[in-house]
Amino acid sequence: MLAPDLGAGDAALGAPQPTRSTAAALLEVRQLTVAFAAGMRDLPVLHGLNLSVAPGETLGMVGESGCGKSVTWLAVLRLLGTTAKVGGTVSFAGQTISDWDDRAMTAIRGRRIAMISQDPMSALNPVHTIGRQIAEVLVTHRGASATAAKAAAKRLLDQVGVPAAGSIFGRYPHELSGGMNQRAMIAMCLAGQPDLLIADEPTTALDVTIQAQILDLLRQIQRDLGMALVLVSHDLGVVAEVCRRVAVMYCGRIVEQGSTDDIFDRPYHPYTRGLLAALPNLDGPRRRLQPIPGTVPAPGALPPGCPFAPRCPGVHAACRSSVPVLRPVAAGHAVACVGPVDRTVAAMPAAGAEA
Amino acid sequence: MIAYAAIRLFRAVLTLWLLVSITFLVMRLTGDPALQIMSVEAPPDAIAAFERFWGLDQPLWRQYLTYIGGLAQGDFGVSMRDGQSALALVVDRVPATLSLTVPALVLTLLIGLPAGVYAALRRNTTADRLTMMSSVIGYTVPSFVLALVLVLVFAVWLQWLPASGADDWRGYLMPIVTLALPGAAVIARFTRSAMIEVLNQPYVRTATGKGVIWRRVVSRHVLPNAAIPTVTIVGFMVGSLMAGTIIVETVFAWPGVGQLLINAVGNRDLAIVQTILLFVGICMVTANLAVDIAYGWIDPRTRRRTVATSPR
Repeated sequence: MLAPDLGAGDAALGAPQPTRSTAAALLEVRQLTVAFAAGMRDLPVLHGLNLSVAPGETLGMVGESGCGKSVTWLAVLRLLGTTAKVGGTVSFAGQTISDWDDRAMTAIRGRRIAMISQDPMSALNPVHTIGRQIAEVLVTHRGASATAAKAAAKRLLDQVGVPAAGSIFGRYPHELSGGMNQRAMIAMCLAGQPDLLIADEPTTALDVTIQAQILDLLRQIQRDLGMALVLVSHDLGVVAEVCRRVAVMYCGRIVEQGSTDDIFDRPYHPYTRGLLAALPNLDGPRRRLQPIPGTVPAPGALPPGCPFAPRCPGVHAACRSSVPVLRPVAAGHAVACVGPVDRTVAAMPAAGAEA
Repeated sequence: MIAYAAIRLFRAVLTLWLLVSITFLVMRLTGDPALQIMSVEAPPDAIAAFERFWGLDQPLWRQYLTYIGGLAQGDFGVSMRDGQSALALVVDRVPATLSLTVPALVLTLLIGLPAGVYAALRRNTTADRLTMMSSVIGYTVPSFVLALVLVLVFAVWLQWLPASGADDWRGYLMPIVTLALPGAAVIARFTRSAMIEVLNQPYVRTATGKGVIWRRVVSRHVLPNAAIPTVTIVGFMVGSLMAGTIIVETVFAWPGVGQLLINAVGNRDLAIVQTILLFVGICMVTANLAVDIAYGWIDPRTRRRTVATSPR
């Protein structure tokens, strides 16, 4: 359905620009830190995050609200504003974009990396028509004329499954449903033909019935256009449907990452296991959902060692002394937990991930 | 749309009627025009004759009905002082007042809007704080103090400008500046908060995230949204300009409506006071209408609501 016929006569869409080798990362994040100025002192929310995204891959980022999953991507695009202090390096397609000034970043934003945000109603400008907001991307990045941009924007709306794209083009966001607005938002992101599409909780603000449609659309777009897709969500189920690889975040750090199969079938970190245990199991036998005991510590009041230690069923003395770093436990599977691998698994026998 | 316009018109007439009625009551209950105009020592039979001539001996409700009846037929009445037509007296003074208020409103916007936008874009910097500090000074200093300071500096010390009168263009400068500065201070403050509110909206982040350069994000995405609350304040400004013109015309001996109003109120010269207040009222109603039209023009959401609320 989604023919690779996006912009005005641009045939070079389809796959993202070839990189030097298939193994080279499209995006490389090294030691990313973010702190927000809060009164006299700074409130750290990201503590040296390392992450890479390969061209065309699908990565899911999961974690509770406030764990820093959205902030990570806003920091990559440098959209956090002046109250945030951002450290570390971000490389995109071999260039260190974290050194670039704001003007240079406009060539990346919307063109190479596009971001779909959580609530389409508030993310679209109420005083401009849907069509105009999509066309703006085409004019900005393609130098399209107003007429060409209009035609291309209508094609894009058509491609994201908006019925009667021609009439929706001239409508304002408040005249459309949330699902329709989110489709328009996706069309806007596709307009720049990005190599990396970040979907930040794209279905959270939508009705359940619409959620599945939007996820299907994202999956289809990713498959047809071959761009890399990062899906940020607090919902492991949503991530499992769309992504091949998953990173689990807790308190501003990645605590486990691996293939979706690894995370769902062989979870190591007690937090990941806890998340899975809290997930309703539709296929297997009915069982009680197990919430993770305790609450997420506030960003300014993290415990000295592993931030999960106060809630962890398998905690021991070493957990409270130093913050564990990510270490590989299998090919492509890494965990930030000091406990021995088998001990971690044994610690939560009740967790239903094995089912 | 016609139904909507009819409702607007009805509401405007209702507002003006309330204005006229309340003024009538206040004017009649707070002083006797006969004593004000003829002096306290006038012989009693002369005062009685004056009251009989102007109908002041009639009961209040009859005076009111006579007045409203005349007004409804376009008769604004005559001045009790010299029998001149109130409308002619007021209309005669209007150009002098408008020649202050219209440039003052323009100056208010020319100073206030850019200052507010500038402060918002540089929020929490020294430049922002200085701008907001001048704004606080601008609207806390009473305009008669400001007027006197200006006179002291530019007329007495420097002797660049005349202290009063409307003889040539230099006479206009100080009255216009005195009228404009407090308004500009208020506009700057409101524009700043409206801008900051909009700058924190997710759609501004969306626009930046699309790769639009910052200047264009501000001009295309922030300003139109910040204009919505700002327009309301500009509407109110018309009213406070009218109030300000009374003080400014008195200080600068300006032959305008404000000065006429002060004298007419002192004399309880009802016809003139009422005509002036009607004139001000019409200005306010028109300003409100202009604000509503501007809303619909800027904000597509109100465009829908207008249609939705008008009965078919």
